[in-house]
Amino acid sequence: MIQTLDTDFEGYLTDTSNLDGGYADRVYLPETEEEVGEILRKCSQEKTAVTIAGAGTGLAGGSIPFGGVVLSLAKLNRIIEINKEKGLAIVEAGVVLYNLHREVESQGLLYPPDPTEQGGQLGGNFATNASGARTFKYGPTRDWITGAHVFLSSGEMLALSRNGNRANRYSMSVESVNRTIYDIEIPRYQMPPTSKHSAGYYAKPNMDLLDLFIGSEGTLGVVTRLALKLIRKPERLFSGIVFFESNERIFGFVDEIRERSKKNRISDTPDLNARALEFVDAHALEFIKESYPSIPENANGGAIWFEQEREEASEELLISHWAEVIERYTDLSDDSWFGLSEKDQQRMRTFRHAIPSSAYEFIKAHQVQKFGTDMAVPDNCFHDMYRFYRDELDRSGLRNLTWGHIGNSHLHVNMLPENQTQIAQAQRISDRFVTKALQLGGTVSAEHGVGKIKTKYLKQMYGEEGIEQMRKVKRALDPTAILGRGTMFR
Amino acid sequence: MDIVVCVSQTPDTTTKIQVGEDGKNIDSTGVKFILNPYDEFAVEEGLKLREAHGGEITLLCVGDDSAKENIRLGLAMGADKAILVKDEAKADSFSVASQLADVLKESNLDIVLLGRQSIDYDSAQMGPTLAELLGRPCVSFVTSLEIDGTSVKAERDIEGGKEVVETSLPCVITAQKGLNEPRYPKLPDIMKAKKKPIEEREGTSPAARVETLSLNKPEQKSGGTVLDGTPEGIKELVRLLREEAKVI
Repeated sequence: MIQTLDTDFEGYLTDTSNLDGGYADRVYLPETEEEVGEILRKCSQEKTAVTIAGAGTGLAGGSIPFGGVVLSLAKLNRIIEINKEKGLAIVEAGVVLYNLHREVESQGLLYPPDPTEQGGQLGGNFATNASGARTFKYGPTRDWITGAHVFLSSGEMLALSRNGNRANRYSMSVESVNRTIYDIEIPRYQMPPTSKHSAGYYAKPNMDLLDLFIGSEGTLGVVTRLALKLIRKPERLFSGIVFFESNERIFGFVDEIRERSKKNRISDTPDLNARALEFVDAHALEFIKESYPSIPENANGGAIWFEQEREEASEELLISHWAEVIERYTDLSDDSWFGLSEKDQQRMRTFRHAIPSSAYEFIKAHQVQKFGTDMAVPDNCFHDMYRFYRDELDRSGLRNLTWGHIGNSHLHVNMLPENQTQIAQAQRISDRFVTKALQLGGTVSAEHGVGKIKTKYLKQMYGEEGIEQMRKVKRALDPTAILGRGTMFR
Repeated sequence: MDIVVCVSQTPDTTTKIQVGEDGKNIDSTGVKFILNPYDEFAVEEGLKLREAHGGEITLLCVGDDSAKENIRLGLAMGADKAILVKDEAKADSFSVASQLADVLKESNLDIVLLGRQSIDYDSAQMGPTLAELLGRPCVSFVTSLEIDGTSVKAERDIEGGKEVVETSLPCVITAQKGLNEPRYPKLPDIMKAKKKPIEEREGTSPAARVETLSLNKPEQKSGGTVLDGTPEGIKELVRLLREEAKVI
């Protein structure tokens, strides 16, 4: 019998976004793929809306239901196989990312994607093409998925593998395991040329069908099982949190590290090659200063957290390269933090994670809202974008803090308005940020997804025509329109 | 001030420990070793003492070559030099403590700092045993340390409270969490650490006084049973408590 909750499921009606008012009739907690198929068949016949839920760590309201039922994948949480020789893991969609990382790393392997929120589930990571600090070197979740089981709303399963089903230009047909054929027309819009992107369906001529489902935010199908690519865990790391006195110098540092890393990634010489390059602004440092008294007083330019993989043979040279650049750009090198041990590296990750968490705690405690951005722009437009953010924020007088994946030219700017007037103001500023990012060729969401709170921005990016092309894809795969209602587009 | 900090390496806390084939040791294949976290507090305290009183910090470790990487971490934090007593067997706490004592007996040290225990075998014997062998006072589980001339005032954790004790140098102090916040290494120290000397000495591998008979993992907890609040559920709860748990 399929496990269900008919009462007391408030936890399924919220996520980490501001969106409230969610409601549902029932929560299903299937334990097998067959049960997922059964639930979908039933809901499809009855035309009951189905909202797919992972761990509820999303930031865009994708898992919040507005009517119908919730299909939680939490009980499909087995790590089925970790194959060291093949560098492959097979997992169910409800496996928590933290558990996968731990399991894989204990075998000397690495699953590179590392969204800051480690409590999310792999299915949710799949649905939003999630990324994290290491995306700078290793790319987003998409690059590490080699296969998936996806259930369509009809209850039929697709067994997808990388390159197993490619489009012919803009058309693609796919066969379910029970031999139903689905014809799909790929949208014609151009995805933005940013190094990260998670807004709207992936669309390119001759694309792989698997890519259509990755990042589709639970609107096209239910992913139940994933095949993931693993690599050998790097021997050692060198990492640091470097503080800067001014914005000019911190961005000069970032530009140099970003360019050298990109270059050295190709040549593979033992030189600077950051795998993570993250920014924390001075306001964000101020926010957590109480818990971290060793943050230097005059870190007015903020801080950069980096990680670099190292091998014993070349590490001396490598560290001296880093020291040379760091000392050229900051006088706070002696007050900066560096780590050779896993423990120190973990402490730095905790520090980085403490920033969004403390912002979240502040919001809860003070009952304020948070307006956070998730736009990325092409690298050569980053300075323009940042100047625009800064001018608007400084002029607004709103409490704000910024952090994010500067290696990918992708920052999370956060405004914490304290009253209705400020909320309206923050809303207007958010809209201007989006418009600016789009003018610069950016994306409205680099990693959180569109969910239910950024549908208007997705439309702004791709226009009504683009949205209609997405609707067409959805109609082909989910003709009863039961999956993820209100997510991505209405 | 002549400061000695004894350090050891332990499996990383995230390692999934497996019992080895002999049933008496852990299987160290694939295990990542870290500097014992309590020893990091000891290193940090040594650095603070050197900042306040001057002097030199020597790290002292009993172990094999693999310990060098973790010794380097202590050197990168700022310790001046290190001695590695080569002993792969590390038969038991007494065996290690007596090899530490052999090195320290001949030196003119003022203070020995070490973690309150290593996080692998958790026996917490090293500090007190070493102090006994050296004939020096020992204060264990220290959370605050003040030194003025040769007089030592230390706060230590005791069950449900704190105890403040006084003693005098030279003495042995074991560090408890809360004593300090270990610093991140600085760039110049990281670069210098490679060049700092690690003196190697042959261990004497004294015989163990404690023999490990077997090593077992704790029993896996089985999942709980969720019963609803209906009258039937409550009846079932009573039945389970009586028949399965046998507590009523």
